[in-house]
Amino acid sequence: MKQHSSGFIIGIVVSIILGFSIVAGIALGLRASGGLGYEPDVYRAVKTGPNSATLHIGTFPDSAFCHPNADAQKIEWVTYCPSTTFEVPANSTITVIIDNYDSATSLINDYFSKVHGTIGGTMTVNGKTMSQISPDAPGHTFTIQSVPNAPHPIFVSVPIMGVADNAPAVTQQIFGVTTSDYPKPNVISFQFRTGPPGTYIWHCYDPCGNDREPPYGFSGPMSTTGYMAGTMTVANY
Amino acid sequence: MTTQATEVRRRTDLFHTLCPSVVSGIVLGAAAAVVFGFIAHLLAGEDNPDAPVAAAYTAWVIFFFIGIGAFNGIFKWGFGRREPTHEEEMALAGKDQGLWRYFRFTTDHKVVGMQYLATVLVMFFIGSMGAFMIRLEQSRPGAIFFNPQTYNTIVGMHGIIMIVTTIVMVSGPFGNFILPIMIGARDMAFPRLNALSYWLLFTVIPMFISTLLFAGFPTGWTGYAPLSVQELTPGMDAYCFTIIVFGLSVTVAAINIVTTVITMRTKGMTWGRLPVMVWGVLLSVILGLTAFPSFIIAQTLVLMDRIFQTSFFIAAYGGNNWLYEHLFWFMGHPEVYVIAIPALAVAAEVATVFTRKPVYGYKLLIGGLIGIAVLSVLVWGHHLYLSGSENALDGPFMLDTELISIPTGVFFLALIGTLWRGRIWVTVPMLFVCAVLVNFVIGGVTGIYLADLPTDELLHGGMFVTAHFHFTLVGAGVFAFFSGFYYWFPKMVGKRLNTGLGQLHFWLFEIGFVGTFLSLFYAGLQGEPRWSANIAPPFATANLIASLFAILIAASVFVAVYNVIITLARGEKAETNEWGARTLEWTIPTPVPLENFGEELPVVTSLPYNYEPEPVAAAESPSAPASGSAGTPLQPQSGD
Amino acid sequence: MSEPNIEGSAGSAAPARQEPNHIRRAVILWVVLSIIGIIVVILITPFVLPPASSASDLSNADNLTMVALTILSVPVGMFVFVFLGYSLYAFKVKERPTEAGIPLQPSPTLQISWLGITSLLCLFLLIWGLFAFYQQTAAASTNTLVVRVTAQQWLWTFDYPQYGLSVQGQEIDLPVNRPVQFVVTSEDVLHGFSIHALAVRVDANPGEITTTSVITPVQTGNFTVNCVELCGLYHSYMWEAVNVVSESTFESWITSQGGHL
Repeated sequence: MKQHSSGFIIGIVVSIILGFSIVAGIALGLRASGGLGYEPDVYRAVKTGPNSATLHIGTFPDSAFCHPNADAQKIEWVTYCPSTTFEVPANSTITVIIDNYDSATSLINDYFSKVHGTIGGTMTVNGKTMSQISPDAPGHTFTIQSVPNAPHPIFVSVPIMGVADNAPAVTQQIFGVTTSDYPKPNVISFQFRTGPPGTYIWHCYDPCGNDREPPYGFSGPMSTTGYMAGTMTVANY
Repeated sequence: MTTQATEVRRRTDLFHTLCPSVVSGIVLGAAAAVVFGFIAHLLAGEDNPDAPVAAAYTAWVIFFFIGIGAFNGIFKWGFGRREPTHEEEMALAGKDQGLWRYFRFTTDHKVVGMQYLATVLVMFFIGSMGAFMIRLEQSRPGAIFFNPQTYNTIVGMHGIIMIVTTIVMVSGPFGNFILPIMIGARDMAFPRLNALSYWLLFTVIPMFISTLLFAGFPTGWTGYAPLSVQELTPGMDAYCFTIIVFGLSVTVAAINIVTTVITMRTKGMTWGRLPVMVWGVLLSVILGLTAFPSFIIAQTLVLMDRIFQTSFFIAAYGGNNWLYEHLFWFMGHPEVYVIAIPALAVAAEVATVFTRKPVYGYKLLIGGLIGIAVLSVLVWGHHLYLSGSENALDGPFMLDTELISIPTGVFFLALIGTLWRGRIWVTVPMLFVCAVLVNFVIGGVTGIYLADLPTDELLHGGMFVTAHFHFTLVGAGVFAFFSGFYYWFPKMVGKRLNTGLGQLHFWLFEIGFVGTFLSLFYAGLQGEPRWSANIAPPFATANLIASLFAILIAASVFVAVYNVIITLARGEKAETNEWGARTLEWTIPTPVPLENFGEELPVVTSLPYNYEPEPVAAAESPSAPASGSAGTPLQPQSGD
Repeated sequence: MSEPNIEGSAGSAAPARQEPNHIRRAVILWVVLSIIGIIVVILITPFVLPPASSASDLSNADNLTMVALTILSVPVGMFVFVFLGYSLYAFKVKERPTEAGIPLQPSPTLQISWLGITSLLCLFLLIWGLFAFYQQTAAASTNTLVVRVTAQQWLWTFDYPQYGLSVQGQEIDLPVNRPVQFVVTSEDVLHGFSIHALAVRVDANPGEITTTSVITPVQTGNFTVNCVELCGLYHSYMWEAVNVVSESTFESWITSQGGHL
């Protein structure tokens, strides 16, 4: 029995529209849910010239500094601050400065004790130039990888020298905030070049997630964006 | 009759209405979850975030059942050492309770069937929301709509919700409501277990959705260890508990169905006169009984690895992930046949009604279904061709898997033969049956590519696999469910679904479905891996086309929801024998009386597929000893 | 009036009753459409299986199997589509039917022929598959390049033990026309090592070593390694570029990366 009254057709149209709004609502809700997996706000590298910029970030042994609202489990997680979503200018030389406040954990893959993909193949640690460190020394690594079939592949990996396990906490200014929770950092600096605009991912390859054997070391913060993993967008600005 | 007395009566009535019912179950279950979770948190300490979650889920299930009154019988009749009276049994079956019986621990199989139907529809809706999220993310390269972690959780949730729903979609609603009537019984063998199986499924849903509050889970629906063990946040525990409790639900239901079909067939209903649908459901639950314990075990071991730091699956401490894979796929393969067999049986059942002919080769078809069921237990290794485990067994597993194509071919012969020279009445259920045939041949043939080692080498872990199992599970399974849904709705609900909307639902669904998954076959042939939050540029076009077709599927879902809502609100009353079918459920009035049949149960003399001549209006007298066939004794019966 | 037990076997003439011979028509339609379908399959193969996917001896052999299976599946699919479509065209009734359909049942001959034909088809597929499978497990020659692959979340590491070279990052080279075998393991969770163009695919298991078949790349080009087993957050970013190059280019690449010949 076919009814083609206009009310009927309106009903069909309304239910389809309503249905798609439910879909949109669910999509927005999932995106907004911080617990599921979130990308913190974009942090732009500061341009220092037409073809150069500086990205200044830090690595911390807990999340109190830039995730103050994290739950009891996540507040213990190591993290990169102030964000893990970076934006850097295209076709430029990027200088990255990383302040590391965290102590060391052994690498499980010695490849990451060496510097790869930077200009000159080296980094400076507290002013001293070097191209690798001992596999027991890094607190983290900063490793940029390309997305599949990227037109301009970038691969940069730098081991981040850990501070001593018993380093005392000092009062200092970190990203404009005075705090006395962290020790004096190791300052690691290196440079790499970007090409045309594109998206890249980065994360840490030093298993700092948990002090158990593999595979546990790579869980938790190691596999959570906002902590030890994120994206780097190369854009024109 | 003072107002005070009336008010007291009303207050008492409200309390007794709500308690015991699902409301009291939820309240008590949730409260217990919070309490026990907190206690476990205190005992286990900061380092073990899984223990409170596990304690909370266990408490939720147990106290939900206390709250809904599932254990009341044990105290009243078990410890009370007496049998329940007939009035108590009737009250338990929902007599004189109106609509509230659907919200209680009601034992009437028809109530349980309707509860399953409503739940299946809601879960399909939620699962398809997950699917639309997936297609949204995969429409453009890059993880731009969702974070990859969120996407992995969505993929896993879509998978498990759909798997759970498709496992129960035929055996739950129709296996409970229709099957006992079809075999001429008044209820199932274990009515209280029947209610238990449904409410176990109900408790699973909040547990599973709660994973969204615990950072989700990264493993997809297969839950492979060691990734599942590695995952620090407790969202993974939701997955494990979902599977364990759902496995219990299915086991309980399976025991019930098997016992009912074996012992409660009415006089004259021999095994050779059992409708195809009953065979399908029976074989599927027997297969489920064989397969699901393996799944329950696998998840229990994962939970032990997570909570109690055992190392069944952690290589660094002597475990092995191949153990998980074998346990999982020993379940995983029969499980897809648990989904497919009753769906195919429903398609065959519906086809006979709308071609007005018997099943073409009844014994051959039943033999084919049994063959599929038996072989399906022996083929799980084809999921493990490239795992590195049991390489020597790759050949034998390939042999087994190819063999399944023979009984599957028998199914096609039976259905094509049923259509051939029939009087084909193209109703909405019949449209869905035709789509089952088209989709299942595509799905089945592409399975051969995956069964053969040389081609599996190119296709394992790619979108070709995804498209293959969607063609079989959705294209054959879900389409057959809808065929049964439109077919039995007039009997179960008593109203007629709108035919125009049904046809719109069908065409949107079939065109959208075929378009989406043919594009994904193409993407798989190009080499696109599964579970891609980030689509690489070579696969972008195929995925965009797939997502555009998925819009049609979404529209079809909303049209179907609209159809159900307006039919429930102001649909036409359906006839007692709406389609002119011959099985027993169409000989009794609608709405179906509490004890199904009248004073005497029917006596059956042949298969219910004889359509000559067309019957007059179906017998209204509940005490008619009607045979399953309305044909005159002079007609030669083709009982094959 | 009923017509019990009419044989539905192909080839026998159904009683005419001034009706067209449905079976003959349907069979002819089936044969014609199958032939057209097979021709279409052969014509579109280069578009669906692009040339880049036949870059090794194994992927060529596997692609041949793919085409063979597709050609075989055309008549199977057409059987269902044609008989279904023909039934809907010829036997449809407009309203609720007032007569029953003809209660056909398959004769024993038909049942046995059907089972026989489907079994033969199945046997053919099986023999083809087993044959192709056992051909792959040929032993490695002395010239085989061995590449050790280590998977971790979310990067592939390649070792060339014969050259003392360890390469990670996102690009590796392979020499053309030289057999190569991949020996695969994982550091943490399950990964799926796959070079689709070369027909190389095996899981990487923690604590276990798995090997691929020995394959020989037969054309130079740029291909990719993907991960095909869900391994967490950046599973779909886990890729490397595989360049198949000439022997001399390969050797200079080895030395430039720090290996020794």
